[in-house]
Amino acid sequence: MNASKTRTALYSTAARDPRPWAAFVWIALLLAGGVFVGLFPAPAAGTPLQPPNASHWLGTDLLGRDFGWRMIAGGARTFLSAFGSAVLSILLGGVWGITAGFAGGWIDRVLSRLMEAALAVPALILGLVILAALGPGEAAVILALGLGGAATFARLLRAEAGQIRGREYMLAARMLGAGKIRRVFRHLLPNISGPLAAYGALHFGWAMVNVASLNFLGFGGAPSAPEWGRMLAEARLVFGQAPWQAMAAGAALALTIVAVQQTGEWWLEKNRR
Amino acid sequence: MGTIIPMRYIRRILENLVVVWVVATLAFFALRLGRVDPLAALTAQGLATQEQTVEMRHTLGLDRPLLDQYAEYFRGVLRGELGRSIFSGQDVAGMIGEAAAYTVPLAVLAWGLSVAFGLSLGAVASRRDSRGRGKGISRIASAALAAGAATPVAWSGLILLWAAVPLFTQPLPDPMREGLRLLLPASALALTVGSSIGRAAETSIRESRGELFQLAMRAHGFPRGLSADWRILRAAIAPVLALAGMEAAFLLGGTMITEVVFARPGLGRMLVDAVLRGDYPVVQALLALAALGYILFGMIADFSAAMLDPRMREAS
Repeated sequence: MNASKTRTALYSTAARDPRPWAAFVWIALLLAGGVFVGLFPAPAAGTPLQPPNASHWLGTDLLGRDFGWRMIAGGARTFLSAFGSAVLSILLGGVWGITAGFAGGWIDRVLSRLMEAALAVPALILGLVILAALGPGEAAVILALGLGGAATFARLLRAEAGQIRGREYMLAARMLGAGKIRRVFRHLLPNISGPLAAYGALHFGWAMVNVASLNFLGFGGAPSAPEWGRMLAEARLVFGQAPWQAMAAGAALALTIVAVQQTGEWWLEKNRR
Repeated sequence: MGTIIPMRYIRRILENLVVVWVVATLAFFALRLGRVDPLAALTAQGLATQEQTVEMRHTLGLDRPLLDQYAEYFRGVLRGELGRSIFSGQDVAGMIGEAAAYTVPLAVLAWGLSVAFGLSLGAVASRRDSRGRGKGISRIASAALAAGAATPVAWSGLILLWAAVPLFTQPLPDPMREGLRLLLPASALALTVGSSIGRAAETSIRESRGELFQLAMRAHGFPRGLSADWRILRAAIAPVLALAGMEAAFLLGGTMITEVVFARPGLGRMLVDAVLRGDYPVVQALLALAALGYILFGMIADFSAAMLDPRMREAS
């Protein structure tokens, strides 16, 4: 209220709580690095299991591939897989939950029963059912986690939509002749976008853990493409000779998950105020 | 609680049995309509000829109409037969019994450690005011919980295993060695699961401190010491326990990973192998079992929450 009034809003929030900004920078670096590395062909394989040196900053893996290069390329892959599955969950859960909350009546009852059934089992189990049917593969992992997490969002958005449905401005829009579709897209969605984005970011953290875990367990398919979870599994096999590889892959994963979680929490708190 | 087992628990048990049945059914059809063919893998690896595969498909009944297979499977389940593994030919119930001896102690110990660790660190972290200012130690606890919750189990497990290598090379008495074999994976799991529980406890206890019943307690001359702290904690634990029940889901994924990292032939590893190979009867049984276990954890959590918080008892 006093000195901060003269500062710009951005600067003052960053000074009060630097965590989300640090998280943004880390995620931006991760993605930029992935894009940058993607522009060039992978460096030729050399001697396996070299320790970190000038030409291979993180050494080489069991097949002689540059580990640092794979770390940078793999981060973007893990991140984008998690992103894909989170988006899938939000879209699917969004249609499911908003239809239920907005339609009411028997449609709501049927859709809500389905939600309860899906929520009664952990999302990971639903994901494993899907993986069991599709077989291992990168797309299968994204699809499995995306479908598995949909019900969580459906429940959240049903509650939000149900609350907002009765608000005066929704009634006003209706009285002015706005159709159902228009009311959902022009009036409902903008009003729930805040909590939606925040829960989306928190869910994204969950997706990230599970993308890496499923890849670690070997559900990711083709082993040549770098991905952090899979790289951690590979590094585990050579832990005695090259412990820094497992340390790097695990630390990068943990740091990114913290970054995503902190951003989500910060956004959620901001929206509560 | 009027009667010993209220009606709503009976209703919940019945509802949950339906859920378990739905999971088993989903798995049954997903596997057979999906792309993973266990027998194709056998031919691809040169372990069986084309004719042998056709014959096996017939003996396993996989060439019959889906609904026939389904009816047969469920008649078996009702008789208590879960089928036999396509790959090893072993009885699935027997396999589960053997693997459970590795997984149940791990899961129980990990859960216990998680709740103890999460609640105590969460209580320390909660000692801050609503503006987030507080003592250094509560800030450290809070940051440790955030970091712990984000630690991949595969990674912490690997580090623990590596750190414990010198211990295993020492001549240790057998019970101690066995204890370590259980304690290490359980600690790796508890670090992540306990931190999530701790984060929930932190918020919950902090909110509970600000609640009106405490003002009322103090107005009535209730001392501020230990017994008041217990009442705060008791009210705060209930929602945390509900979450701890949900965290059992994470425990499930976590056991898959720790059992792979620590080479324990438990249920989690059995599930990973079975899904990867397409061992239909094993996948079906384990997924249904996982759903059942998750539901049981949730019910125990709810039940104990009702025991702890008097308000929840009266509300329901």
